[in-house]
Amino acid sequence: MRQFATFWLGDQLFGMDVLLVREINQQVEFTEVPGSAEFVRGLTNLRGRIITCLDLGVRLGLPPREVGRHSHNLILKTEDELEALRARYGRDDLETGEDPTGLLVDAPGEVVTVGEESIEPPPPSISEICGHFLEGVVKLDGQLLALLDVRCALGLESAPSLDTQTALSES
Amino acid sequence: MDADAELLNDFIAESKEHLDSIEPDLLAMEKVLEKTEPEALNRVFRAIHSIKGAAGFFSFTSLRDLCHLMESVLMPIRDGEMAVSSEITDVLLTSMDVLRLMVDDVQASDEIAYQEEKGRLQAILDGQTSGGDGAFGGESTAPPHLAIEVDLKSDRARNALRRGMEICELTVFLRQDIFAFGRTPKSWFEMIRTMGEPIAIPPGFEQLAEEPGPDLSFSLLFATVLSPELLAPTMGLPAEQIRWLDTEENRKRLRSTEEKRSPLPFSLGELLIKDGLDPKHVAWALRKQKEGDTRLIGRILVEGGFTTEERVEAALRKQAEIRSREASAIDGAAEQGASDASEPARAEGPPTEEAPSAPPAAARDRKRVETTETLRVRVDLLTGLMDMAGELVLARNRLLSTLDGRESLVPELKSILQDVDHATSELQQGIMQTRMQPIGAVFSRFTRVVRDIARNLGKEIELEMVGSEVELDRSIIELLADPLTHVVRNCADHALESPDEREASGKRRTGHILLSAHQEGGQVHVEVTDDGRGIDHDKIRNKAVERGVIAPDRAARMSRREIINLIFTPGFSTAEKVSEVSGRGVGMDVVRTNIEKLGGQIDVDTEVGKGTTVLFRLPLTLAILPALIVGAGGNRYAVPQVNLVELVRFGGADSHHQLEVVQGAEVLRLRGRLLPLVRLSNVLHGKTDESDGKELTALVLRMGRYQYGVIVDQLFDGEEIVAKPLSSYLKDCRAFAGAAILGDGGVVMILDADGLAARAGLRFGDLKEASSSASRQSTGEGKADSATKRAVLVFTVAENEYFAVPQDRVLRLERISRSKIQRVGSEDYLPYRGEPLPLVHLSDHLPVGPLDDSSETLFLLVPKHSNGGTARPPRAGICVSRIVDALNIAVALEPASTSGPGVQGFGMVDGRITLFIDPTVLVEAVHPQEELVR
Repeated sequence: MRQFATFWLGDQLFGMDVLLVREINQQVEFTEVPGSAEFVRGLTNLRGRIITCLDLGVRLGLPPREVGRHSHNLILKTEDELEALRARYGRDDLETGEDPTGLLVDAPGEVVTVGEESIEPPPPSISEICGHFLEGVVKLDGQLLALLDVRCALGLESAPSLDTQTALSES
Repeated sequence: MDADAELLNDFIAESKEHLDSIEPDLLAMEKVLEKTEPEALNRVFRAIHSIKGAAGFFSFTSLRDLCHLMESVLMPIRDGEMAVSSEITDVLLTSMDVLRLMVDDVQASDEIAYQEEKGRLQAILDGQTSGGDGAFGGESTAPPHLAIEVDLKSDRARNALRRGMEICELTVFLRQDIFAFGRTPKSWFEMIRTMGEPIAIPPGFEQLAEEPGPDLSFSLLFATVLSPELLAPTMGLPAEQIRWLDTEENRKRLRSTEEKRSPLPFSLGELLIKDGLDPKHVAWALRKQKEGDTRLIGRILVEGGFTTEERVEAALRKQAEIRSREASAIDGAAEQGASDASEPARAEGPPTEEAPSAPPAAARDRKRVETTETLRVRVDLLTGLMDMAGELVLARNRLLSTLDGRESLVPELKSILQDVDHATSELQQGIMQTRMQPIGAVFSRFTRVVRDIARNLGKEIELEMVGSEVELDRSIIELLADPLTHVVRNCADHALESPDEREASGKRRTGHILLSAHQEGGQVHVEVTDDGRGIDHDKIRNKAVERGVIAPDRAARMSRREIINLIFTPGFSTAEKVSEVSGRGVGMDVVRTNIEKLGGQIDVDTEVGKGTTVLFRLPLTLAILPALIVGAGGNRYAVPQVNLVELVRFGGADSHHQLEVVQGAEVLRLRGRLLPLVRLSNVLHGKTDESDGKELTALVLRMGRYQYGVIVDQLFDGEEIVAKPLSSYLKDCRAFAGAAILGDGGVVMILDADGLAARAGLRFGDLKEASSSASRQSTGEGKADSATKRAVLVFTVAENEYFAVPQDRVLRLERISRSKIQRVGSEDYLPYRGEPLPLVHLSDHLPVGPLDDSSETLFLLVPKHSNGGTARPPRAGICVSRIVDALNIAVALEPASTSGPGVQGFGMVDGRITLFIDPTVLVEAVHPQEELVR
């Protein structure tokens, strides 16, 4: 059984391993960094730490997020916080990069618990948009939960090229 | 950290300190061969001795043996029996290098080859023995030794350890330790069995004769519950002949004993001298020991007939008395530390067998060391404290800004805040102070570096150091060491010529390197100046092209500064031959990267034939940065005060400073200079507001030798910030040096002067001119000196846009008629001496206005070839509408924000802003190929 923190980007529900998440807050005012990549929203001060906040939408190839009433900043754990977890759970895949990072999302969701066996490959409808950033989908009641491959989404490892991914999902 | 590792770390740190401390002494010895300072010699001796002792304790055999040999060479020198020669200092220095290698990787120290040093040291010793005092030489060779295999894993050893015993290796001399006490090997063995348990006996022990025969020594592994300080006297063995083995319990015990023990004030020799013995005889006995006589000092003296058994025994009793008295006294400055514990069994009494006539100066020296109250603290602990203090400063700032104006709400609040404010500042400064080190720590190593290079390359070099006491943060000193070493090496290796070469060019034979440091504002400037051959920028240009570092056409367009800066390009080296020291083409790029990494800047100034100066500008500390907060495009930015020269308000109705536009670039005329301007909101936010007569504020930023103005929208307060590195997602944003949290909790980006200039596309012109104007600026003269006088030709192309070219770059200037120009394709040509000559229009290559078309008469300016030759036909001519003047003027050039081929910079000529161009560079850049002409 795995637990996922879920959040909304537009009308799609996404989830990521809850172990990766440090906190979710409403700190969505950022200091912009002129000249940075489009997916960088800016910097924010989280209790004395400077967090670089990314626009997850742009990372996934969606339009840039607009900050609204429900917008949240999903703060990821840092390397040293993950170090212990990796050892404890034997999960080498837990990785968020060296720097304190936050993700701008449209709205937070629940934490859901999912059995490994119910994770399926992403259907074409989703693959078309951001399939190569997903590790799979889970069918919840009336809702499809897209499970984010955080390493790909953060650019820690290069995503497989679109062609092979579409080819894979079509086969 | 466990106790073992800690002990070992202490040993390594101390050994390094020792080595560092004696290098200058050895070098000084080399300089004044005939008159070596006894104090220096003693320091060297003591240091080597301490390392030897500790090395023995940890069983680093090679390290110990090499130290021992060095000591043996130093001894006769100290005793005045051998003269110092440069051969001796040389071998001592190289041996010291080997020691350093061994200490650096002490666990592998036994794998480091030192045969050569060993041989050389031995050769000196042999020379000494044979040439020296023949009467006593020769006969003393060590007796045969029965060794054992030290094996702590054997059943007996493990058994003994389990029972709480400790194991030691005894070295026993048959004659002096057994027969001298009226015992036989057998009865001795029975005796020691009452004190513990022999674990391993050397083969052949049982066959030892029960009668005194030829002397011989043997080792024995012994387990006991007795403490080290008890075992030696009980057994009647000198403590040095008992080596406690490497078990954890032993270490702890040893350590606690050693901490209590202080260096003994009297050696046996000294006591005997007090008792009336001739010091000469003691010295003789000591030398015998060094030469390999294994007898105890007392015995040597007795057998030599200089004293009696009774007297030695009395002295020994006295020594024991002093020893026990000392042991009970707590002496915090146990300088000798654990190192003496395992002093190899040669000398009796205290291992530091100081010459009885130790000079009083040395004693004073030691006293001073003891009275300085210092404490070793781990650097990471200090670093942690430093970070915390930084955070505390930030929290204080937030507290003050949050409560600003509300102090009256709570009585007493104001004074509490003042206390907090004050204490925080003091704390931060104090902690910062703990990390400050004098730069001399780095400087001192160069004496050696320069000496070695000079020796290897047959050069004569003197090194002068100024400002060694200037303090910098430890981390900066550490990061500075390598780049600075590289630069100094370059100086000694490449920059300074050989003595003959120097003489031939009318210089002193001895080259001179000046290392200087001084504080300037919030920075420390470190300069390395040599009076060597300087850097020939033409040579660099050619080399760069040859090595493919830059394209030929680009090389032609580069300014002198840009060319000199090519030495910082990866893979660039102009050394004609690669020497052992440097010149492999790696380095200067690393130097610059490293200096920039620590927030510093590096600059080179050079004059061919005269010498080179490399200037490092370094921050005092990496921790807290005073900065000015400014606003642009609705955002706030922090500008480090280090980069900030001044603030200028201009452009208002009654301001006498006005923004001017020269060749499409905005400049500000400030005290007779032209300052290139950039608008922060334009550069960062892509806004394009133009000046509309309102008042503007510009920050004048310093970037190496250059300055430029940054127009900002708003000015806020100054604030102390802690610079935090940017996340990897932002590494490409060159305009920023980091980010910081302000007192109000907001996050700001820290502007980087270099990065911002690069992003704005600012281009800085010629180094020499700019630097000379900068120096005039600082001395407030404002007038050009005669040194920069030049003959120029001033002309216009479009009306009221002035250009100047150096007259010595002009081959011909001819009046031409506009109707003669023929257009072929997109190019204009002029029939010129029977050949079609391509015409260059400045407006095609520079952001300047087009040719004034009001007049039929034009001028053709034909530049010289870059090699000065006139045989080949000219490549092209430049079209000029009016010749204004030809004059000889002194002018200071400012970097031009206009970029283009051949642009040298802006200058004032007759009160007009004039763009200086090198026509040759321009034409060759525009028409790089000869073929185009034909």
